[in-house]
Amino acid sequence: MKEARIECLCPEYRISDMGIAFRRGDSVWVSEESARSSEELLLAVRSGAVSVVYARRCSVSRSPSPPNVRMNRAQRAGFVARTLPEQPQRPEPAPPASVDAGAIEDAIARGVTKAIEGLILSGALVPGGRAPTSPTSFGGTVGSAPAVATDAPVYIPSNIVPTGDATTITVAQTSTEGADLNEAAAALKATRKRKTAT
Amino acid sequence: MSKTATPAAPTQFRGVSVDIGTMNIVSARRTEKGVETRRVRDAFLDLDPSAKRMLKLSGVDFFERGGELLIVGDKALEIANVFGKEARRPLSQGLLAAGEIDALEVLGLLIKQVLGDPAEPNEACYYSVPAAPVDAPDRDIIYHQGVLGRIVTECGFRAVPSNEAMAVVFNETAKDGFSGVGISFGSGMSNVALAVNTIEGMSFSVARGGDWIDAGAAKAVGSTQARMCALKEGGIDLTRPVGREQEALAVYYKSLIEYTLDNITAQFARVRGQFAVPRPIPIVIAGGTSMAGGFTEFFQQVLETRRKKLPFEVSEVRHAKDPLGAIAQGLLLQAIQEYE
Repeated sequence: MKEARIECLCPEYRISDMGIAFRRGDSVWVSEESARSSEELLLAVRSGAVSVVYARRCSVSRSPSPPNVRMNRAQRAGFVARTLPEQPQRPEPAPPASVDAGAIEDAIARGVTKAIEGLILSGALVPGGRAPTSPTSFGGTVGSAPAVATDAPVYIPSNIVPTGDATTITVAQTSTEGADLNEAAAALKATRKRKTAT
Repeated sequence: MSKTATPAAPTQFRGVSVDIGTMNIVSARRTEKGVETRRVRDAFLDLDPSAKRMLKLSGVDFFERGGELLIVGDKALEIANVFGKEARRPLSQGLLAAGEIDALEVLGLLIKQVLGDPAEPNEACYYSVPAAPVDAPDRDIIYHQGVLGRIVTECGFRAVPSNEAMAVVFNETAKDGFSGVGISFGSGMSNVALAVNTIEGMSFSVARGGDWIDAGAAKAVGSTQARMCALKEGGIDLTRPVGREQEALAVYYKSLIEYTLDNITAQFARVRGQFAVPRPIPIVIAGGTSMAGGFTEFFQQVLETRRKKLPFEVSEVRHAKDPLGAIAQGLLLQAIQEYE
């Protein structure tokens, strides 16, 4: 069963809908269901007050302690021999004599490299990183700092922008004259074309 | 600069952008002669209804909501000083705080005013999103990106998220073949992107910016954050600080630049095997925090102490022509490509 380990990162925090109150460094294990259904926990995670790690705890059953029986040396030797059977040693696999292992590895490496290069050129593979931020981004992404894990659902409210409100706000407006934008747009278009051609 | 409402854009210039930062919201749109940028402070102030008469007399725009008066935008900061209060900000350290429902509504209103009406239904609007912060892994950019996308969509546009620092690269490195390091020193965080021929090699952010400088310097000299901010915006020369307060600010500026450069080195090490920088590239600086006097020279001085550690060669350090509007203009460049 998966469980959630909640750790307190701030001086003191209380998650009232789970009945948890803890101090910095304290950690509590709760069931995954209760962690995922707690709205207060979600808020706490977003505000950085606590961290949550979902994990499956390994349950190890302890073997019963041996009975306290007095044994002499000969008996003790026999007891160890019975409880620790000898492990049969596996023979190491011998390398095949007639095949050149180095040549096979080289051939596989060449094939894999070719396949990866093909995927990168076709744009199907982005090496090492996450996908570009926007679907219409003009470049690829090799590597970026990872975002926060998205396994928890994210609630995005709707009807945020007030409608039918006649409020006007003072906005500072500046006009820049010049052909810089058009030149940059043409250069970007040309760069993109060159990239597509190659 | 002028006072405007929300005009509809002419249909021949399609594609618009908006940079949503902790301190400012800036939009950009192409016009016949060049680019038009519109800016508003990303701040609001809630006042008691008893202040209504005073606000009416002083001609300040406000609106009422749930038994309180809200002043939004630049005026919020001015009035906050009058009342000795702190203006509230929808974003904190570069990102939206979950649960700030009041702030979301204000943010929606500000973005709507800055963007204006779309030139056509579902016009492409590129909006800025920061990269995930490397020093605050719990900060949630997924929620931030989702909410901003929803706001832009509700304003009648087709919302397209795009990396903030990459926008600096797009706007400022056309003559370098869209290769360079773009750094946006914002109020809440600092964003970095490295690109070669438009390909993003790495991007990240650090949860330190102008607010961090203000807070640190204020603590060091026993002053307030607001005073430090005013001092900073009032025209400090970082290369020649005068007095204890300015010296404290310069120390924190230096620390921020060192921290950013050290993180560039550390983050580049993660992609070193997958990405090569074949020639010296420029570092382009933008963002409101970079508008302090002598910032570029100061940055260069700090860079010299770190140059040997940097894993690529830097051809030059330059400041964006319009540090506050560079991100919005870089996003606009991407937006208009959709209609070219």
